[in-house]
Amino acid sequence: MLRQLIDNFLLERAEISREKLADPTLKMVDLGIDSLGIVEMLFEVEDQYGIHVEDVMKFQSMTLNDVVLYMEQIIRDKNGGKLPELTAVAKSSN
Amino acid sequence: MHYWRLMTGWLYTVYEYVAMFIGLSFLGFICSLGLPIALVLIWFPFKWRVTVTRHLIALGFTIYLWFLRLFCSVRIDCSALDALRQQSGLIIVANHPSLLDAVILLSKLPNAACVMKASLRKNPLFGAMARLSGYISNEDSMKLVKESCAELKNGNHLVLFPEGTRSDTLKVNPFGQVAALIASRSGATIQTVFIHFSTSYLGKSGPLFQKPTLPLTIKITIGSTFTPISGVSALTERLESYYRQNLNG
Repeated sequence: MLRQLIDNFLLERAEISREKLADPTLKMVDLGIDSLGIVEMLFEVEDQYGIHVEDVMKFQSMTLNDVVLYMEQIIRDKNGGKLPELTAVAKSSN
Repeated sequence: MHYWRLMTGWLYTVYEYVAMFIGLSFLGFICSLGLPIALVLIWFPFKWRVTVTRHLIALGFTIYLWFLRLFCSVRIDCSALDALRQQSGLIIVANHPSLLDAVILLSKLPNAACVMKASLRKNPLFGAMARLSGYISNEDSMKLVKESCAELKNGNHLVLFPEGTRSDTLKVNPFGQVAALIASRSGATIQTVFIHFSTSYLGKSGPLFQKPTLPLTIKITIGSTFTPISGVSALTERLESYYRQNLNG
């Protein structure tokens, strides 16, 4: 669900192609998203999961999978190891 | 007659150099006064410190602008900003043709936080007061947006230059998305401001000790407001296009 949320943002708001998103080797900076774009993406996750993320610069050198795993860890830490379901995300992805 | 014109022309050029030198020296002097004042302000409680520092910066810059008017043949009309002083919680964006832009805006808006280059906070002349005033560094984008939203929520204005850096000419550079992102996060209205210079002075490409063409006329005008109803990219495009229409001709 978290992956879906981030993918939706990158596809619809940052207008990154599906081909680029499917490439696991590409770092965020290679996707063509700048630091403010990453901030906007992180705000989306923060708003949905009620977390706080710091040090945006490190995300630029991460791959998309790394970002998802990192965010998932923060969310799990906040929710006692669980990853909450987001119905709103499920709806928008259909 | 010919010699008289030649002589006065030559003298006027000398005056332009002298005006540039004393103008910059006086700005340095005003900013250097901030150092001992900062040593006192640092003991104030945080909220007082920020308010007092912002008012002192506004006062210092106001004195500096009057100095330019009186001794350096600079005609500055920034009275349009008085209307904004009565309001609160606006994102005030402006084009950025000169080093003097922030000085002019902040002289009239003591209730404003300013987004500034991280390097300016380390500047020996202005850094101490900039840090005490709670002006926002552009070093960390997320912190920048969050601190900006907090300022707006507290009813303060936010001054920023969407071009990110000074322009090379009197025309505008491409806009970054920060103003639109802050607007969409905070729900605050973007108030556009235009800074008009009669000739380019202290722009990005010119040297610090560039001779101004005097008299230099600087006029501030207030533009339209933009509400964050569209997405960040769309709002940025609307803003940039609005500035290009009005400034690039």
